[in-house]
Amino acid sequence: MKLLIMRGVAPTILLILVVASMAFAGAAARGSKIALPTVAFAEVPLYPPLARVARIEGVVHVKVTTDGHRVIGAEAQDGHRLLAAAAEKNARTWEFATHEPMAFTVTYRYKLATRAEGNPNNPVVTLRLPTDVEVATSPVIISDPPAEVR
Amino acid sequence: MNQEKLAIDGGKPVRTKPLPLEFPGMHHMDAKEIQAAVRLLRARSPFRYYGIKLQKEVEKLEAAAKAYGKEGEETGVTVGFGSLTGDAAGGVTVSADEAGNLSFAVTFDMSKISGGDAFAIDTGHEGTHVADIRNPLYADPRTTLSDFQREFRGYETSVWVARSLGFATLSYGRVQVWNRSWSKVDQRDAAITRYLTTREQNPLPETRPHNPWPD
Repeated sequence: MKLLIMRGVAPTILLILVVASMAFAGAAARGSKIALPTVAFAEVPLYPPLARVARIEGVVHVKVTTDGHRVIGAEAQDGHRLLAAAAEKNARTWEFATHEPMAFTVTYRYKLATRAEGNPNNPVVTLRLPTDVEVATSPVIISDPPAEVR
Repeated sequence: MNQEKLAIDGGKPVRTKPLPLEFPGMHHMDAKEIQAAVRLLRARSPFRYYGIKLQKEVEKLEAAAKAYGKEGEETGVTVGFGSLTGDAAGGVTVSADEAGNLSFAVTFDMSKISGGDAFAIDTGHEGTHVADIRNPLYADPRTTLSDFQREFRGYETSVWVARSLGFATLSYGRVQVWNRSWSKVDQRDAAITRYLTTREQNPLPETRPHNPWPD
């Protein structure tokens, strides 16, 4: 297990990186003896603001294709459009240590919990690279008491 | 019951001279209008589109009102009346279809709203939320509003509506968020902040700037 500091990180995001030494489990590489590539850089995945305010949560599977260093293709296979767009955009930022070009699937899980820990403006992000990403925060509640005027 | 005859039936007319041939609002100016004019002059910005410190109230209120659209217009906003939980008198629920198109359900609990003026304030407040979430800046994590900032902008609108209606104070629960006697806008900002960070239901951590968007 290795803790990395990545550029572009929102200040209070809790970031857990469980790096790829155990990544034989990658979907596309299942059945293969070749390990999935080691992630060298990735922007922090965040909860898309519109999905949060619309209380949309769920899973997005993104098929990632690499050229041996970078992502050359990231296509969401499912999931709500607001989540899928954010997942694809994040996956395109990933860079890897030199490896044979390949394709594998990354699973993004977006979760909303009313009593989520931490500051609601900054999600809790858990990464099990290179195959699993979880972004959790609290939903937006817009509920206002009555105005009283004199 | 008034037993006097109507003028049309031969009774005494209420008005014996014609109304002035000008715009009616011109004849009903009192301390409220004087105070508003003084505020603009002190800001040295009496015009809407240019000045040293534009007050921006017209734009803000227009945006809040525009969020609801015109009668019969398809805006993605539905307004309903019903019971809301807790002390809530107004609320917005946002939905997104599979294509990512947003729709808004604005609900008011009229059993908690004290009258037409308070309703106007609450309507402006919730309309600000709708307009803000529709703003493309909201969708981008780099320019979105924090929960505090979103509510702060809503309460700014509430204050502007209360002030334009001529009230002296605006309160939520036991917290006064605006008082006409306050000479500095900082007092209003501090009061809104105190309310948002300490209210019983859904207190929000303060983030600065309080309002990061240009109005």
